[in-house]
Amino acid sequence: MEHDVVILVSDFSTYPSGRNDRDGPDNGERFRKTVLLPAIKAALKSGSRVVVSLANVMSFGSSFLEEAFAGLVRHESVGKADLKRVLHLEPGAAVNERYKDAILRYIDRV
Amino acid sequence: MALGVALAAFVLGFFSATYFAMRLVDIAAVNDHIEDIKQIEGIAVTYWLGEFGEEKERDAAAHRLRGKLHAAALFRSNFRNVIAKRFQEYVDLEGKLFDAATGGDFQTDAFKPDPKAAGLVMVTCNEMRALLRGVRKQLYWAH
Repeated sequence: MEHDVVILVSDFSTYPSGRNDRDGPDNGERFRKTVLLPAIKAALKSGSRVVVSLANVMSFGSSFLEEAFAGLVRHESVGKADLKRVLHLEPGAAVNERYKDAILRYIDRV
Repeated sequence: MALGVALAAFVLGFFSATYFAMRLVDIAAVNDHIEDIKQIEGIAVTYWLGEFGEEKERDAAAHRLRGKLHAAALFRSNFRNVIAKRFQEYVDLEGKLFDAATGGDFQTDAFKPDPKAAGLVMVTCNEMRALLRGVRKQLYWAH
């Protein structure tokens, strides 16, 4: 098994918002396509995990989270079960527990 | 004998005073959180009804709403023991409020006023306040 791939959302943006490029540069679609999707695809191939840390981000909107994570299933043909198998969410702080719950909820709803 | 009674009274008094003081702190936290929810409701309803003049006012409302929701999330972790048996019910409502307040076209170019979202925010905030008032009532009984 390969080592886990660790993604810090804060490396992408500490204040992510919106769904796509019309909403600004730090949007969910861009995060999905440039950061999440390559890591998820590689993890599915290698059997590793993708650890996404939500630490050091100053809040999320659910539109960003929904587009970034549920969008993997809706737009990128990643299987829901596969995604939940490789994706590991690290809140990083108690205040971020809500966002972890929300991401899992959005993936389930697709 | 008298010394023993005095000592027992002192210990009992100390622990009961400490216990009641802790319950008062919990009640104050619940009251603060009810106030937070009122503020979140006000900002979210203003946002989703589109009650602002210019785009920058809409942006400001979105930032205020995100900030307030983020800050209020600390209650869930810091006062889990206060919500106790109703914790999961609270978490479900909190998730529902987060989705309603910041979902759909929140902070997007496609934003349009959405009275349904505003209504859902109002209902959910009311449900959260009702839950918290129930928790507060339990704390008073414990008091």
